[in-house]
Amino acid sequence: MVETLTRIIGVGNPLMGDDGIGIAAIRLLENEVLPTGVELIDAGCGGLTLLQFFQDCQHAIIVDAAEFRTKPGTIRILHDPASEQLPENNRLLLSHQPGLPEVLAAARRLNCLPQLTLILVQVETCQPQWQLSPRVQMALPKLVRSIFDVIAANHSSDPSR
Amino acid sequence: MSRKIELDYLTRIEGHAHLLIDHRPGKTCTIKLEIVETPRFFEAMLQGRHFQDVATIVSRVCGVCSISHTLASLMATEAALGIECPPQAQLLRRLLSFGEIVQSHLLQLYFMAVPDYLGAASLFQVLDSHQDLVARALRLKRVANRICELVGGRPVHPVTTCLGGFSAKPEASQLKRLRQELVAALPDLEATVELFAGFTYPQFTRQREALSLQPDNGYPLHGRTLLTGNNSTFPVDQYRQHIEEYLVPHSTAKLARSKSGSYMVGSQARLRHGFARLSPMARKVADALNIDCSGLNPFENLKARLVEVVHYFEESLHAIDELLICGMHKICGNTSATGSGTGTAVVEAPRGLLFHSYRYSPDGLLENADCIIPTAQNLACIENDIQCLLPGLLDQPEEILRRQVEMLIRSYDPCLSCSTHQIKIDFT
Repeated sequence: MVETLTRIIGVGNPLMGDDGIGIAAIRLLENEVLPTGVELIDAGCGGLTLLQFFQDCQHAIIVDAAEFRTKPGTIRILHDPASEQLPENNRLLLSHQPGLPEVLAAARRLNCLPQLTLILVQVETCQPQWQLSPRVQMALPKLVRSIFDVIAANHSSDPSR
Repeated sequence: MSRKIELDYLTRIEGHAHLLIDHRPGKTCTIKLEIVETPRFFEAMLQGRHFQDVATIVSRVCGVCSISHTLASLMATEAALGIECPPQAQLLRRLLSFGEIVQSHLLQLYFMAVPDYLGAASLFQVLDSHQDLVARALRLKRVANRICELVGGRPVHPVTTCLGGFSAKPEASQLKRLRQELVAALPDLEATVELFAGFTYPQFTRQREALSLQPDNGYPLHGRTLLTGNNSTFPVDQYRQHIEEYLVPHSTAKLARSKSGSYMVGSQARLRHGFARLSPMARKVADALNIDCSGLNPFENLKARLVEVVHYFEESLHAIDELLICGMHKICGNTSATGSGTGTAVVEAPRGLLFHSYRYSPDGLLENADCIIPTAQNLACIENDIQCLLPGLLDQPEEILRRQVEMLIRSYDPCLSCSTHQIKIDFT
């Protein structure tokens, strides 16, 4: 069995327009050749279930939609962010689930948070619709490249490899 | 006092519930629980979709109950278009449901309810002070998620489920390993029972109507007949003759009522109707918890949930054994459906009955969808409970009143359970 070193976790709800950008990224990555030890997770409206995905991996990359009041489709990458670095109105907020800040805080308290990278995409609209808005859709190729860059940078800095 | 919330407003995703208590001495106390409807507008999104695509979309309605929504959707389409699901696939579907219910119940019991009963102000306080307990909860939840992952292809939003059954099946070796994991988790389950047996539950009883699937093929889970509180039955296709959804000015959520008024769905309803069908281990746990199987005290929803966790654990072991012995030779029926049709399906989701009813056009496009979720059915029951609970609390300090009411609401594990942990109460 190959040990999972890096877990890419897409989060969001594709029924809510741009909220599903993390899931759309996972869909694209499923057609790509990934380095050994990299695992893809479609966590959907994950909430506390995310805690499970933090276990047994060295590096978790969460891909999510966010609101940080900038141009839709803008990508931001946060490495091991402190809670105050998380954007307001983070969109990892789904029906009957705690949001991303709460889940990360819980994982920290339980000492089960691996090295963490958040890759966040500025949303345009999170209305009920089964597709991304055009500007967020256009950001998808760049988002996938960003994810590969983060994987590559992490693997090259990993002395165990 | 009433408050109007726009139907298209999106904070339902943020998941806030709001309760208004309007008490004026000498007058009737008014209770208004405001929760925003969950899947209502998704029904419109389903219109015009091909029958092959509907379940995939539906699985995204809810992160906790995605398996129940998927299965109810598939079964409704199968009923509409005459697609058969072979027995081994039905067994796999049951196993999948077991996993979802167990993981959902554990989440509610350990992360939503436990802080109340340990006197903790928040979940985070429990995380700090009871790390062993949280670690146990996560171990148990992980085993339940493993069931979902192995059968459904991933822990949430299943991908192996399809019309007629499954597109992929677990390997026998994987099932054997899962069985070992389930057995290894039994001591944790035992410790959970000890924990909940040691709690003191608020004393409150109210006669509540119960609605569940009829326990004809075992404890209620999947089926075609519903059982009411007065022991009458009706086919799921006739649900509209027995259940009425209605709007109230103070909530965007539709409420539901039967001919006799509000009713409860979920663990206590299932337990009341299906107690005799519980597994042997679950019956012992019911005894250890000193459970009232008539389910008069809504706070004991927690006990009922835990009994179900044990039941579904044991049933999962039996299901795995049966799959290993009989094999999984036919996991998908004939799915070459054509033509129009109307179909309804009901599954017992973690929180209770979940209805999906569809009408398809001759070219296989969905013309009309109707979904009733468990929380919509429980809302009126919760309001009526609060109405009865409140007179005994009105002379208590606000903090105690608030806590009891919150605990009552949480005991139903409403779809906005995390939000109701921070429920805002306005006193007017």
